Amino acid sequence: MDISKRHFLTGCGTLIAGISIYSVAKELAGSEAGASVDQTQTIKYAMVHDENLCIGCNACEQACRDVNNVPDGVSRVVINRTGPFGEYPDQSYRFSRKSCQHCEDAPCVKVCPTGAAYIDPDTGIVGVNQDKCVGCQYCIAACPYQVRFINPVTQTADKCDFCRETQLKQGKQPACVEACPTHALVFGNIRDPESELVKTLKSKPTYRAKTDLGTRPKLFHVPTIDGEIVL
Amino acid sequence: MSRLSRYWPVFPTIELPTILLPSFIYLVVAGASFPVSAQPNESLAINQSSCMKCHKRNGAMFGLHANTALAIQCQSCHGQRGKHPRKGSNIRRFTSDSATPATEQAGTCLECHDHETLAMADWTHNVHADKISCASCHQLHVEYDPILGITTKERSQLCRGCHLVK
Ligand code: SF4
Ligand code: SF4
Ligand code: SF4
Repeated sequence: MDISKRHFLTGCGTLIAGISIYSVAKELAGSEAGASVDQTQTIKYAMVHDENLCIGCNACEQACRDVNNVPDGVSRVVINRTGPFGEYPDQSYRFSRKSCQHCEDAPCVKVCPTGAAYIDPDTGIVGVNQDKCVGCQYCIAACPYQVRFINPVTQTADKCDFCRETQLKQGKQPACVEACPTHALVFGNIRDPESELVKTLKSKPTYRAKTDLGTRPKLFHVPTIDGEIVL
Repeated sequence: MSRLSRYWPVFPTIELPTILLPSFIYLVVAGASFPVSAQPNESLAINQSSCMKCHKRNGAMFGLHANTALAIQCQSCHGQRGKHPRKGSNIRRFTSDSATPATEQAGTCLECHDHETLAMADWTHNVHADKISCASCHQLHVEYDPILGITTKERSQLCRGCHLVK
């Protein structure tokens, strides 16, 4: 009798565990489908910032400001500097690029009440439609990378658009990429295996910020390879 | 040899002298044109030096380092004249293409200037340290060191002068 009771209890436990695993799995499958990746898309733009090549000269920021008419006081791209590491006279700094990640599952787009924030289906670029933006700043609060700002001139949300309205329209590379003296920035089509971007991604180790949030960002970083553990 | 990037040995196309050349030329040219119109400076102690007998045009000292209170002499930075000008000497020359090694040039400046204070003024002092000469960016003899007044854009272009990868 005791044995059969134990069997019964174990059976119940297994059943409950089974049901919960099933529902979690179903939920996951659902969200994957919800954020379905369009495999027919032929252009999907991405960017790599090589932190080993970057010298922190800020030419990227200035070029962006000029080309995209970004007013003083705000910026579409910031190069964050940490350091110095090591002892004088052999010191180094680390640089990391902060700009829109062109998330495939973009929180800014999800929260925008007017549809001003959108993902361009042809290029994967996350854009802002200035005519629709009412400046409510929901997107600024939602963006986990804190790259959005209100443009003081247009009073609408602004951020990096991979130079879609300026350089890309003229068939050129983004302004920051063109300006970088050390070629630390590589921009291109992640769907094109022959592109420099894909070749860079295949030949260098990269990381992306906050991937655990499920935003699927498309700004890749080549981490600093100092070989030093910094406490 | 200064390290321009962490991939330095991987890019054999970068040749230091070639990429540094434009900035060298700029600096050498800029270094040769002093505003000789400033009269009062000629009465300064440093400009009474016997060196000035020959170095009238390129020797006159203006600006902060000429201040009599600092009592800087030509020799303070350039070293003893030795057999100059008749024979070779160890006179230190402060340019980016000088025979005086960059470490020695920077070392001269660092006798008075503390590297930590320099780092506070600009972080790039730390990375260039004693690997390139101070004269690659700075000028001492002129009234005002032009680099103190450059815009952020000009600053980036200055970086580009040496760091450009073709
Ligand atoms: S980084 Fe921020 S602004 Fe850019 S797509 Fe992602 S959530 Fe939107
Ligand atoms: S891609 Fe264009 S918009 Fe984005 S940071 Fe670079 S220059 Fe600015
Ligand atoms: S222009 Fe290039 S090297 Fe200069 S700060 Fe930007 S990414 Fe770094």
